[in-house]
Parts: sequence; C-alpha cells; structure tokens
Amino acid sequence: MDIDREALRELLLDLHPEVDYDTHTRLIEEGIIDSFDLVCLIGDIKDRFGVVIHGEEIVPENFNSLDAIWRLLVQKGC
Amino acid sequence: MSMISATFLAFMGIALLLYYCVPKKYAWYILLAGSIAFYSTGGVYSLSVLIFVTLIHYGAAIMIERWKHDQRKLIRKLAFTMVIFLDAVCLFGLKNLRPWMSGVQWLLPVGISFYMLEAYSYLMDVNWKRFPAEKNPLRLLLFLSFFPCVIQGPICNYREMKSQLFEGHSLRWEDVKRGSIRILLGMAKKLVIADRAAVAVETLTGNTMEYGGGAVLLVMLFYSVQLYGDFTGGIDMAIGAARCFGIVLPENFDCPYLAISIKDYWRRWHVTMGRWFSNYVFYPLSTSEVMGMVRRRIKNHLGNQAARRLTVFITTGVTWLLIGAWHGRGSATICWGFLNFVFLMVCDKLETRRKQKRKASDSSGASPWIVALKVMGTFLLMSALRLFDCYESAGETLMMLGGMVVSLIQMLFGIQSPLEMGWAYEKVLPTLGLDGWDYGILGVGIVVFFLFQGIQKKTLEDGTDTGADRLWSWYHRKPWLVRYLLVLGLFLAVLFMGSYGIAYVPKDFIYHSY
Repeated sequence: MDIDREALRELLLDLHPEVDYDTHTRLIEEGIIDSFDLVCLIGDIKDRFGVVIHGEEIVPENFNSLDAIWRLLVQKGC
Repeated sequence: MSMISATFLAFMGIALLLYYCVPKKYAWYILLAGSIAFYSTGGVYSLSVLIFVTLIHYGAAIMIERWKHDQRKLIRKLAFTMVIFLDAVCLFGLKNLRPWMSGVQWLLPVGISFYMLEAYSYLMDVNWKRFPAEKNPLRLLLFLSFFPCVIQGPICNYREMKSQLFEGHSLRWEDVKRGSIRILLGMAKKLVIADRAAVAVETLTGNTMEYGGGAVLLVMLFYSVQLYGDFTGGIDMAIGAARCFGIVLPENFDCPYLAISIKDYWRRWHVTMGRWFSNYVFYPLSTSEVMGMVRRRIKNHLGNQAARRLTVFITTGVTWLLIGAWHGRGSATICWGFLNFVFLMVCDKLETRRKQKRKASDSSGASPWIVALKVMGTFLLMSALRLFDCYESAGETLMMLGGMVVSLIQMLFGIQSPLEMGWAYEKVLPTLGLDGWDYGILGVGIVVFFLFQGIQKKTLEDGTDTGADRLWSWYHRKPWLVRYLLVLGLFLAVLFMGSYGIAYVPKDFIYHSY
C-alpha cells in the first residue's frame, strides 16, 4: 500500500499547525503530541489510510517524528 | 498453599531439583505439574474452573485461526463473541456481586481476575494475528496456571512467556541466587512491614466512630505502607520464584511512592495491569469503529479540538470504570476508578501545558524542593484514593474523608481541640495494637525501603532499565562482606521481626481477594 507522506503531514498539521514536522524528532517526549492527540491521530490514520495501529505499537519511538510515523505506516501497510 | 510457608519453600526445593534434573525438553512438564499441584491446594473446584477456562480459550483460538475463510465464519464469530462475553462477565461482573453471594463465595476461584486477563489477552492476540494459536492445550494451561503469578500477577502476555516457559533452562547460580534474594526481600516486606501495619489499619477501620477526623490520615499512611509491603512483597516473591527457574517475569513496580504526579504514579504502580488495560481496552476502544463515528460526529458539530478531548475523555473514562470494576468491590472501587480518571485528566492537561511551556521532558531542571513537594502531594492524593479499599462502601469512605477535612479546618481555627478531633496522635497511636518495638521496626523498615526506592530510581551508567535491575546492580557493586551482611540482615529480619514471630500464621496477600 502507498502511504502518502504529505497526507500524513496534513493530519499532523491538523492537530498542531504551529509545529515544523521536518525538524521535530521528540514529539512525544516534548509533550507536543499528548495522549489526547495520539488517540485522535490513530483514529485519523485509520480513517485515511485504513491502517490499524495496535496498542503495543503505541510507543514514543513510533510517534516521535513525521518520519517515524510514516515508517511505521509503510511497514504495516506492506 | 501460601507463598509464605515452610510448605511452599519445600515445594520450591523439590520443583527446582526435578526441573534441573530432567532433560530441558521435558522441563516444562515439571513446571506444569508443579503449577497444577500448587493451584489444586485451593480445591478441586478452583482447578476445574481454571482447566475449563483454558479449554474454551484454547478451542476459541484454534477456531479463530482455522475457520477464517469458510462457511463456518458465522459460527466462529458467535463462539468468539460468547467467549469474550464470558471473560467480561468474569472479569468485571462476578466479583462485584460478592455482597449478594454470602454462602457461595467459593464460586469465585482464587486468582481468577489475573488468569482471566491473561486468557483474554491470549485470545485477542491470536485474533489480531500477533502469534499463531497454541496447538497443545497443556502449554496454554501452563501459561495460565504458572504458579508464581497465578494468584496475584504480574500479568504476563503469552508472547513474552512462551519461549521462556517451554525452552527449559540450564542451572545458573546467578538465577537461583538472584531469585532467592528477591524472595527473601518479598518476605521481609510482607512479614516485617505489611502485616505489622495491617494491625493498625484493622483497628482504625474497625471502629469508625472512634477513629474519625484526624485518625483517617493515619489510615491513609498505615494502609499505604501495608499495601506497598504486601503487594510489592508478593510480586517480589513471584518474580524471585520464577527467576530460580531461569524465567524472567515482567516487573510490576518502579518506585511508585516517588512518583511526581498521578500520571507518573500509574506508570510505576501495577505496571502490568496498566499495560493490559492500555493494550486491550484503551487503545482498541479508541481506534474502534464506534469511537470513530462518535469522533466524526463531534468534529462536525463542535470542531476538532472538542472531538479530540471528548474522545479521550470517553475512552479514558470507560477504561478507568472497568479498572474499578475489575478490582471487584462494587461502588467503592468503581468510585475509586472514576476519581482516578478525573485526576488523571486534570494532571494530563496540566502536564501538557507545562511541557509545552518548558519544552522539557522531565523534572530534571526543577528544584529539589518542588520535586519533593510533588512527590508528597502525589503520595497524599493516592493515599486518599486508597481509602476506598479500607472502608465498607464508597459512601462511608467519602464521609470519613470529609470528616477529616472538616476536623482539620475546625482544629486550625481553634473550634475544636486536636484531642476531640482525632489529631492528638500521641493519644491515638498507643491504642492501635502496636507497641513501641513495632513502631520502631515499622519506622526503620519504611526508611530502608524508601532508600531502596531511591537507589532503584537513580539511573546508573550500565543501561539497565528496570528499578529491580538497578537495585541488583547497586547490590553487586558492593564488597562481598557488605553483600553477605545485607542478605543476613534481611534473613534475620524475616526470622525475628516478622510481625508476630516465627509461629505466626501470616495474613493473606491483599490482592488474593481481587
């Protein structure tokens, strides 16, 4: 499955328009994406890409940056 | 069979001898026989329920895997739903009916809350294709009945246990030594601290008319000490017993009383329960079709921010009500779960705001005084919530808490004297069934275990991650004489400072009733 990186960026920008997702690599640890955002993001990802993210995959390493989230989705989409 | 008994130590000795004598390939049969023998001391009925639970989850998992793409899909769905429904009733319903089950309490087998969680997680993981269904029902039976954790956890998942349980281990002195010391540590926490504090808790909560007002603060403190010693001690014994067989169980605690917020506390207390509810309730519910629909509707009417907040509110609320129901004391634990949810939401909001302001991930930059205040505040808040465990009902707990606050205000404004309001502790403490020697031992014990927590929390350079690993590293760095003296000290403490001496029959672990 093709995961559109720009579409993913749009979802993230929808949550926090002020964040530069190309430079931030500690989105979870710095509290930019909190548990509120995370649950919303996972819902949006499911709606947009049809990729289901399981509980055990919800760890900071998978959500700390746009790159990390995109890699997770590509890995799961394949 | 109580884990604090000579019988258990003899049982461990025989099981270890047989485990390491038979070929590795067959060693798990020894664990299975030992686990069945251990659990069957609770009665044939309890064992039958455990075997029944194993068989239906075994069958359901096989069915999910094999009947996926044929005409029996509907039967599979129906059977799966029935098993999940049965699990939900056992986990969140049955125990709350206890007040109406007088005379038939035996219908609830010991440990059912714990092994049902494991059985449910096994079935869901197979359903989500995280691993294939187990082909041998005896293997699943060992996973669910594994004796160190069948009664009160830690709550394991099949994937982390599978290879460890069935591969067999060679005898390693390091494992036996580390396991034995951990068992000794657990016994010390339980016998020296928890059972002693339990005497005061029983006295204080047994007479609410006499011990109201300021005495409720004593219940908070004594019960926190009792629960810490009892639950972490029991888990230490479980982890130690498994370690003697070369099996590493997940840690359940990471210095919980040094938490700096309620959110931090729940990352450190009963970790495996939190992990289970996150993986099998919170996240599946958050990502479910129903919640997706709810979120979209809220988004259309109230906007994205409101959709986000309300979705998390709903899923967190449901999760915490279920955690309360799982603890099984009806309105008391459900109210406890609800209050935890409320405080967690407030804490989450405050923490996020603070982090966004400071762009810092921890409290490393904060002043030690601020950290100490946060630790004390969290401890007091969690101790107050624990009162729901101590009194008969949610109503009584709220009344006692309210009484404490009112009495404090009355005392501070000089309306009533401390003596009348239960704040004159020099008068209250001697009436709690403990003497000066008991208070001395409790005091020293609390200081020692507080220091242990300090060592566990401190991160060392060797990269070990759990608090227990850090404590073990610290212990290992000491000269051999210090190490032997520490172990000897623990041994003597258990032998001579156990709450009522050697002949005393210890109280059941608190979590045995959950």
